[in-house]
Order: sequence, then structure tokens, then C-alpha cells
Amino acid sequence: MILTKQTGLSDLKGIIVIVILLTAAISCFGQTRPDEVLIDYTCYQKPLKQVLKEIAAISGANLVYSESRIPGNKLVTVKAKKEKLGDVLNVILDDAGYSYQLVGNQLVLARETSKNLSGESRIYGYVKDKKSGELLIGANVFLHDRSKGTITNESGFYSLPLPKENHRLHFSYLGYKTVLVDILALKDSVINIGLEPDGVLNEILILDDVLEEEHEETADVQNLHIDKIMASNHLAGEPDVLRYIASQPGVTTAADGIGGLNIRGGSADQNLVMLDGVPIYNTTHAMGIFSIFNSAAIKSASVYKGGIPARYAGRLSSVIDLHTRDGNLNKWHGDATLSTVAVKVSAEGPLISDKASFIMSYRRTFMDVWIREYTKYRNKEKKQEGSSNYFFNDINAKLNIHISKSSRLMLQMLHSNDLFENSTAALAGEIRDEVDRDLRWGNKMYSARLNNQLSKAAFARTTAYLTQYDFSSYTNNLFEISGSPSNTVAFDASLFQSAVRELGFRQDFDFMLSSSHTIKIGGLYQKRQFKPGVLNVNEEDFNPAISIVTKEILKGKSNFPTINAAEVNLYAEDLMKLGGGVSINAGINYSFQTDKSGFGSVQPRISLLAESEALHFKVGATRLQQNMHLLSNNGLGFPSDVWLPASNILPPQKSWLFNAGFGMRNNAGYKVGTEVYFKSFDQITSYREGANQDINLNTDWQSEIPVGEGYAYGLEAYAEKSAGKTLFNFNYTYSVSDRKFADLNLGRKFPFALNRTHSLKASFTYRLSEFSEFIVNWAYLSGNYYSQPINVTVDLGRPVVIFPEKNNAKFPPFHRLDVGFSFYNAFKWGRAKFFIGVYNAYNRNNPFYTELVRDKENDSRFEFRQFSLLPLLPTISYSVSF
Amino acid sequence: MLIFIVIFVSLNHYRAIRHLLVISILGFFLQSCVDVLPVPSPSDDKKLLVICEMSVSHDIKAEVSYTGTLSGVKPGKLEVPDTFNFSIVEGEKDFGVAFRYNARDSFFQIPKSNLSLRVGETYKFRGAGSNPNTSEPTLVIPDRPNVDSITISELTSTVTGGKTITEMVCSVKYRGLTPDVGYFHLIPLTEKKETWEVIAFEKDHQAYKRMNHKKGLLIDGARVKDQTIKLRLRIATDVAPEYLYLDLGNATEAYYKYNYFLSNTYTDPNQTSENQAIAAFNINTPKAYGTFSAVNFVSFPKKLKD
Repeated sequence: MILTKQTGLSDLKGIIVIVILLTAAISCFGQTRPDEVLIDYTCYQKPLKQVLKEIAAISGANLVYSESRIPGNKLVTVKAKKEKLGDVLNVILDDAGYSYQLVGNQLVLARETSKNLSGESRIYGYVKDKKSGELLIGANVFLHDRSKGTITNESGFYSLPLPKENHRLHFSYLGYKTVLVDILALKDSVINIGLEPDGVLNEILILDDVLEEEHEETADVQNLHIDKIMASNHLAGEPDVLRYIASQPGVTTAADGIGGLNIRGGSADQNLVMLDGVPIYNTTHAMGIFSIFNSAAIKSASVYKGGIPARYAGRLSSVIDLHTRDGNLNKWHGDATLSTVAVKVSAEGPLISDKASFIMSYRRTFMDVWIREYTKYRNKEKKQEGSSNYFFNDINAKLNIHISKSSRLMLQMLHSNDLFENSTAALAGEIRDEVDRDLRWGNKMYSARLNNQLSKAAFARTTAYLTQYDFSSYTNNLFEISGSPSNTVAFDASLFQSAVRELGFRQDFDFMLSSSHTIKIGGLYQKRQFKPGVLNVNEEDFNPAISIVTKEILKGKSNFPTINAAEVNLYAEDLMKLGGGVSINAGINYSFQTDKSGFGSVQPRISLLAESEALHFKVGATRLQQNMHLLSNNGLGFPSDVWLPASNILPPQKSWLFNAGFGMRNNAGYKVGTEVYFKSFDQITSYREGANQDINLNTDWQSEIPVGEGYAYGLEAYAEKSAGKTLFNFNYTYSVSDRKFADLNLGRKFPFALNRTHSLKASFTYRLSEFSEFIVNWAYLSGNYYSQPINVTVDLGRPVVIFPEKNNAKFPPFHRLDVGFSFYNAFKWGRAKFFIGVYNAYNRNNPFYTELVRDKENDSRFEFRQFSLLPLLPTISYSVSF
Repeated sequence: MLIFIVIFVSLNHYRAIRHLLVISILGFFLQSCVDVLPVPSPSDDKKLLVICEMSVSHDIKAEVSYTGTLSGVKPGKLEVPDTFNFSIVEGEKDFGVAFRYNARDSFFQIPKSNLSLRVGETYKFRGAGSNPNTSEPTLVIPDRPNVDSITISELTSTVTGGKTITEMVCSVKYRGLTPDVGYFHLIPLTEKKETWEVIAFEKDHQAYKRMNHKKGLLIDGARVKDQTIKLRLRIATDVAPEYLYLDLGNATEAYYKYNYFLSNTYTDPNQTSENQAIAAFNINTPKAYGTFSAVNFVSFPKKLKD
């Protein structure tokens, strides 16, 4: 712009004004409004005045407010990523009853006079999978500032009272996209939410952020994610929920999963395993190598190791709470898997769209197809006759009917069966040495459950069920010399039986009174029938003598008792959120046997959680009683273990559990923590020493069973990364567990056989691509204990080996490496997965059992043998889902 | 592994070979692996087994034999028993009364005329080891048990198959040496020395132990409430018995524990079960294992029907 003398002064003034105005206009149009600046800001429970200062500093905005009037100490929680400043201010000021106005370049904060609402209204509803209609258990429902929140119950229902004003609600669940809902909560409202699954092909979810998806509970509980169970390294291509639980800290088994789970020094019978609220007595196939639960049907799995809430009762050590899926309400789906040992199929779908669905899964081994021929071939090589056979199958079916908007009926069944047969005979001239074995066991479970939403804040569950477990075993060792003048026959035969039948009726109520009180009350009636039986005979027990003994003959000779018992449990618990990240769950469980006095038991439960965004601390104390015993012949949890009810002679088992833990986590999915625990056991039982113990009506067998006590304590530490392409989990447990019986080990204390002093487990998963994963697991556990003899035999009628002490030796340590790859493929009709791996990659002979074997030709010569079970095993499976 | 898969799939037409492959591969994990565990021992030499159970007012017997080893050396009799020196030392005496070997019955013996056991006196077994401090087990001869009363109730008698079955409940109120401690050996007999069968214990069942190698019961007095033993007894005889003869012996702890162990072993002499009987030896020296114990019996007669 050229100014000249010819233009004159007035023209110059105009030009200057124009320039100024243009400049101002340009600067106005070019400049972002202060409340539209995008900011990144996160805080947890910080005072409002500090938050405002920090936000002002980050955004450069000029916030104007009265420090004396604004509730500066109100605690705020917010998480914003590239959000407008105005939106962030709306959220954090809303609860304080403030809003902002843009005045010039300033954001003036003032009290909202238009809102004069008092009191609360309630939002409630269900959270489900948007695609399948599956109700989600434990889904998070919380305010944006995290000042209030709750989780859905076992029926996917939530209820949350809120002040009558604007709110932004988060609905989230691991593996699903978070949904945000803005509401003005002027009246009670139903908000049902469908969450969309994260679109992943693989079973491992790639999480960028886990903060929202995970929550801590007061109990010492691990909520296991199904994706990790399905993606875990599979034995013989079978993902297994119980094997996955065995990889957690504080959980051990005998070698290779044999015998069930030992949790924090307890024995396998002390774990309450529930499937949709129904107790299951024997949860394994193949002596513990596989569980009877089809992982594809499992929706959620929780393991309570301490701080056990009052609603759980009946066992001494832990609770494993499994819930199955209800079936897709919208579309038909199916799965089929072929692995190295079994074939598995499942199908689910709507019977009436959105109203009724079913899900069914069936699994069967095909080992029986070839094992008989293989063993026949092997026996021939050893110049023997006979063969072996093994078979298992299981079927799980569920029908889910939405009777109305607030009521749902579920009918469910589970059958599992195992059969092991073995018949071997060695012939040498006129001498026949024959062994026959027939072992069969299985579970049957039927249940009907009615879920009823009673009101906006109350929910009821009514369950009736039958669960039963049957085991029978027949063995016969026959030695026969044929020829004139007469045959010589000697045999040792035995018949084992262990059956439990339980009819149960359960009623539970949840009352979500407020966001700081959730009350649960309920009761359970269990009528049980036990049929234990042990009979050992030889040829001298039959007069006149017999030369052939069969299972039917032994059954005729047996006089096994039937023992009835009935138990009632009543409970009440209150989950209280005290604010400041502190929650307490306090409750009482009262149990008694209806047919016996003196077995009443008041079991207090209390657990406390204090948490911040990144830290948590919890502590708990639990009293438990178990009105039944499992007599375990060797502690290995074989199906030949015998269930017995508590009685005046064998009183109920009791325990105290104490736990304390501390943990840290961050948004990137890293978690570290440590826990300590102490347990004491009273009135536990065992087989007596030297026992071939008969259990039948002809003997006073109960009085022969030793009763004793025990304790366990330990420390667990873990480090985990659960988000991103690379996942890992390390955990270490130090554990001590001892027992003391007046009638065992000369009254001296001895170690619990299945305790592992040190246990170190590591798992690593790397997502190679969208279509493949690499998985490595490694476990190191101290050896189990066993009783070792000294090199001495004495003559007590015939040579007898001397054992100076019980469980005085340890097996060599157990360690095992498993490696595997998963490959995925997507098709129009569905998805396929191919898994290939190696179980026990370096072929470690991990010991699990010892046996003292007498030489048949020299009865003074013995060998003390250690047995290992699973060597290097290739594992392959192929699955299709449609 | 990949190569295996390729080969396997390409063998489509060779069913027999594929069958064999499946068997041999999957049969892999059917074979459990067996290793022989070493059993630690200071030496492979056999030791002595010394069983000396003394009974007041009877000759003292000690059965001594050789142990065997796991590797096949059989337990056996002493070859030259006269070369062994065993004795019982009474109280604080320096010298003990020596055992003599009874060759006819194959045990060592001290006649009661040579050593009469005295209640309350301490006795040591000498000769089981070299170090007197560690190898001479001692005991104190227990007093006779005092029985305050024997009560018979629920007495029934039925005839079945030519035999008279007599059943009853028997309560024995006793006084031990101290109120809560004491071990007993109880043998219920008839006047003809036939043994009653103990069908059930009606109180404090963990206190009682049936024996398989001897008649009667072992009882841990510390676990018997109110010092009252309550038993249900049964016997099948030609003629109904008229008396209960209760032979009750006050025993040392070693007597109780060794017989407890023996009874557990007897039910499974192979000791191959998973719950092996734990040996109760109070003689445990480099030279010998064994037991040194004592019992003091008294017989209490009780007429069944007044």
C-alpha cells in the first residue's frame, strides 16, 4: 500500500481503519475458539481446582471463576484424548453443578441456576453381545468421571441410581467396543445395551488400552478371559479351562494335570467347582489330563482363592465358578474340531428369534478306535494275550427361553463318561497269570433355572438341579495252575464304588440398593446320597472255593452302605463402596445338616479392596466348612477316590483362609503384584496306613479312618502384559503345606504329598500377523513328595519293606516346555483355525507316581519305580466355525 | 513336523501304512516311562531286627533276626546266635542280666526267675548298638490298669445255624496311671478263652485300633473321653458264654506304636500300596532296628447275667 501526499489525511485515516479491521477479521476467522481447542488430559480422583489449573495450562485457555465458590476439592476423574476443551469442561463441571460460557476470549465458569433438581433416579437394564444376544457377566457400567459405577450380575443385569442431571455413561467389557451414552437422568429409565465384539480373527484380543475393561473385586479372584483359554497351548489340540487355571499362581496339580487342582495347599476335593451354579463332583477325563468342560461352551470362568464371598459355601479351599453360553439368539452357528485325540462339535442358534435359543456341544475321543488293536499287538510282542481300551465322551446342552422381558428360563444338562478296560494274560505252559480291570466313571447334571427381574433394583435366581457322580472299578489278579489232579487257583480281586447323588434347590436375590450397597441374600438346600464301597477278597474268602471270580460275584458279596445327608446353607452379603476407591464385602454364611445336630456352622466372610487408577491393595478373611470328605488313596485324585458325608465319626472339615495382596497396573496392559496367604484345616481325613480298607456294612469302617489337621501358607508374585501384540505372564509361588494325623506317620507332621515348594510358570504369546500366533509355555515346579523306603526288609510273615517316614522324599522337579502355532483363515461362511504344536518339547520324563514292585521270582527283591506319563507329544487340531 | 504332515497327507492311498503311522505316533504317549529310583542307604549290609516285648510276670523274650535288603538278600535267622550279647539293665546298675539263646524256639530269653520286672522301675535294652547314649532304649514298667467298673448292657442271644450268637455293649471305666495318658491292649475273652469280636466302638473311635496279628484292640487313652471304654461285642459259640474276661494291659508307647505299625503292615504285607505303614522302631542304630516295649496285663472277670 503506497501512501502519497496527493491522497490527503482523511483518506489515510480510512485506509488505516480498513487495514485494522481487516487484520482483526483475519485474526478472528483464523483463530480457534478457546473451547474448541483439542486437548489430551487424564486424571484420577484429583481436586477440581487443580484439574482446572492443569487444563488451563495445557490448553492455554483463560478460565475465569471464583475460587471461593467453586467446589475446588471435589474429586474428578476424566480421560480425554483429542477432545474439545468445551466437552471436557462440560463433563467435569457437570457434577459440580457448573457450566461455562464463552465471553470474548475467556471461559467463564458459573453455577448452573437452571438445574434445581434434587434426588436420584435409577437406570437399569441388560448388557449383551449385540450380535449373538448373549448376556454379559461382569460388564462395566460407570460414569465418565468414574465417581459411580457397577457391574452386571450373573444374568447380565445392572442397576445404578444416579443424581437427576446429565451424565455420560460408559458400558464396556473386555473384547467389545465401549459404548458411551449421554443421558439426562430425570426419571427411572431402562437402558439395554448391545456391545459389539471387537472384530478380530484371532482368539487373542489386541488391546490398546485395558483401563476401562478390567475391574478389581474385593475377593482374591481371577476372572479368566475366554480368549486366552481358547488360545492357550493345547494338549492334544484341546483348549481346556482347568488346564488354564492350573497355569495361574497358587495352583498346582500332580504331573500333567493328573488328579485335579491343588489350590494354595489344599486338596482337589476342597475346590467347589460349579457349572452355572451347580456343583460338579469329578471334573476330569483321563484321570485329570482333560476336563469334562468343553471350552467352546464356556462364557466366563472365575477362580476364588481367598476372600470368598458368603454366597459360596460347601468346600474348604477355593471356588471355580464357570458359566456357559446361552446360545445365539439371532443366528445359527456351529463349530467342529478334530484333534489328535478327540473330535468335538457344537451348534447353537435361535429356536425363536430373540426369544429362545439353544446350544449343544459334544466331544468324543477316538482313541478307542485303534487303542485296542495297538495294545493287542504290543501284548503279543510280550507273549501275552489281551488288550486295553480307553474311551471318553461328554455332552453339554442348554435351552434358553425368554419368557418375558424380565424373566428367563434355562434348562441344562451335562453328561460325561470315561471307560478304561484292560485284560492281559500271560501263559507259560500250565500256568496262567491274568489281570482284568474295568474302570468306569462319569457325571450327570440336570438343572432348571429361572432368572427374574423383580424390580428396577432387585433380581432373583431360582435353581433346581440334580448332579451325580458314579465311579466303579473292578480288578482281578488271577494266578492259575491247571492240570491233574486239581487246578490251583489264587486270586486277589477288588471292587471299588464311589457314587454321590445330590438334589439341590437354590434361591438367590440381588438388591442393588445404591451404587454403594449391593446386597445379596439367599439359601441352598442340598439332599445327598453317598454310596461308598470297597471290597477286597482273595480265594480264601470263598467257601466253597471258586475258580472264577467276576464283577457280578463280587457285587453279590458286597454289602455297600447307602448314606443319606441333607444340608442347608443360608447367606447374606453386602458389597459396600465407601468412596475413595475403598470397597468392603462383608457377609455371613450359616450351614447346618438337617439330619444331624452339632454340625451347624457360622462362617464369617470379609474382604477389603482399596484401589486407585494404578494400584490396588486387598485383604480378606474367610471361614469355611465342608460337610463331606474325599478319601484319596494316594492323593493323586484318581476317580477311585471315595466321597463320604460328614458324620459323628467323621466330623465336617473346617478351615480359615487369610489373604493379602498388592498390585499395580497401567494403561499399556502391564500388571505386577504379589499376594500372601495362610490357611488352616481341621478334621480332614485320609486313608489309614497300610490300607486296603474295606468299606461295607459288615465292618465298622468309619472308625478306621484317621482324622487330622493341616496348614498351608505361601507367597505368590506375578508380572503380566495383557495388551498389545505381545502378551506374557510370569508367576512364581512359594508354598508350604503340611498335615498332621495322630494315626499317621507316628503322629508326626508330614508334608502334603502334592504340594510344590516352588512353582514358576511363564507363558508368551506373539501375534505374528492377523492370521497367525506363536505361543510358548514353560513351567517349573518342585517335585511332589513321596514316601521312600530304606534299604531294609524285615520278616513279618513274609518280607516287608520298611518306610521310616511319610513323604520323606521329593521327586525330581517337574518342568515342561510347550510350543505351538495357530493359523487362521476367514471364509465367507466362517472361520478356520489350524493349531500345531509340541507338548513337552524336550521330552522331559516328569515323574508322577511311585510303585514298589516285588520281583515275582524272588519275593525278597524289590524295585522302587517312578512312573512318568506324557512324553513329547505332537499336538494338532483343526477347527471350523460357521 | 511340516514334512511329516506333507508325507502323511500324500500317503492317501496307503491306508495300511497310514494306519501304522497313526499307531506308532499316537502310541508314543500311551507308553508311560518307568525309571527305577535309587533307595538311599548308608550301606548294603544287613542289620539286626530286635523285637523285645516284655510282659510283667512272664519270661522276657527277644526275637533277633537279620534284616534283608531290597536287592534280594532275604531276612533270616542269626547264623551264630551265641556270639551276640544282649542284656537288660535294671535301673542305674552297670551290668545287665544277659539273654540266653533258646535254640529250640529260636529266640533269646531271660527267665522271670532271673529278672522279675518291677512296676515303676526303668529298664534298658543293651546290645543293639555301640554307643550307649543312642542305642539303649529305656522304658518304665507301667502299673497295672485299675478298672472301676464293667457294665454290661443290651445283652442279646440268638441261635443261628447251630451257633449261639451273643451280642452286648460293654462299658469299662478305668483309672490310668495319669488321667489322660496311657496306652492299653484290651482282649475280651470268654471263660473258655474264646475271643469276642469287637463290632463297634461307641465313643472316641480314633482311640481304638483293631489288630490283625494279635487278639484284641490297641487303645490310646489320651483320646478316650471320661476314661470310659465302650465297645459292642459279639461272639458265636456252641454254648452261650457266662463270663466276660477282660484282659486289659497297660502298655508303653513303643508297644502301642509297634503293634499299630504291625497291624497296618499285616493287611498289606507287600507294602506296595500308596499309604505305606510307617515303621515304629525305638531301636534304630547303625547295627539294629527294632522295638523294646512292655505291657502289664490284668484280667477282670464279669458275669454276664446276675
